[in-house]
Amino acid sequence: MKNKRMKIARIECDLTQEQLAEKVGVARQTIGLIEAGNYNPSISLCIDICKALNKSLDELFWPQEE
Amino acid sequence: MLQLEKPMVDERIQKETNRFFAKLFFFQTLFVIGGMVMQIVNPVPLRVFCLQIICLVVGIGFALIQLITKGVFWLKAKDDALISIREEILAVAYSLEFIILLLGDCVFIFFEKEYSSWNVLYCFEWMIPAWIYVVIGIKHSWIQWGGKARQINGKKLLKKLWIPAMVAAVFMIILLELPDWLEDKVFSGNEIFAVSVIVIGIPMGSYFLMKKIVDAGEKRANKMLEELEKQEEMTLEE
Repeated sequence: MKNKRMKIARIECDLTQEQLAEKVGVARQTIGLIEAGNYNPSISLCIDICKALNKSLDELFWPQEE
Repeated sequence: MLQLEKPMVDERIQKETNRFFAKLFFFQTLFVIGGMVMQIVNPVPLRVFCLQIICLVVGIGFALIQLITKGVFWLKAKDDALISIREEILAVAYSLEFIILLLGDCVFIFFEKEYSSWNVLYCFEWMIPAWIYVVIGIKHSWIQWGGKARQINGKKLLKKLWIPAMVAAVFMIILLELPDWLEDKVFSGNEIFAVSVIVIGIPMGSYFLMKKIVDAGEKRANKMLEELEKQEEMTLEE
């Protein structure tokens, strides 16, 4: 499932995938895969991403009800 | 200058590498057993194949002890967490075998002159699995700089390794060749040329080879991202 909320939050913070990857200590490709929904990050990586984007876990990773 | 905020410890790459190393562990172990069989068929003294015995005892011993004590030797259910613990243990066992073979091979070159031809076998035993990892690692972009800033710092780090590599090359010459040259008491032009090739060639060759390998992985990673972006654009258009 694609993570559009994470992509929007990243763009709102004016960060590129590479900049966010450097902030959280992963490869740019991993951020790309998370946004595309092709990789499920661990909880610690989710927390790092939330901290970098100033969002809560719920806001970025909790599944939205249709 | 671009500064890194955090060193790259990518859990995705780590997991995928562990999974692959776990498979390589079985391949390398079989390879070493095959080498031992060859040496049993062509009898050699125990000291010649003790390197392989040490490698197997340490590698398999470590894997068995860890798998049993952590309770992941036999998995009844397909639990992701347990599988990743198991893969991590086997990856460490592979690394141990690799390091023992590599270091043992260096010792073998220096101290075993009589059966030096077996050195080729030891080289194959660590080099073939390592090259398989490099090829697959590039294909899946496990080997990569991880962005432009990291590329700059990574290249700087590789350049810093020139001096230790040169010292290692000098050390290798002293241990391998110097006694023979001193015996002849002649240090010809050819030998000076050979020394300069080793001292400059090995570090330079290693630098460019490493750079080429990581650049290829980075290129592959960028291509993968482009494909992802294209896919996303296509779904948006739909």
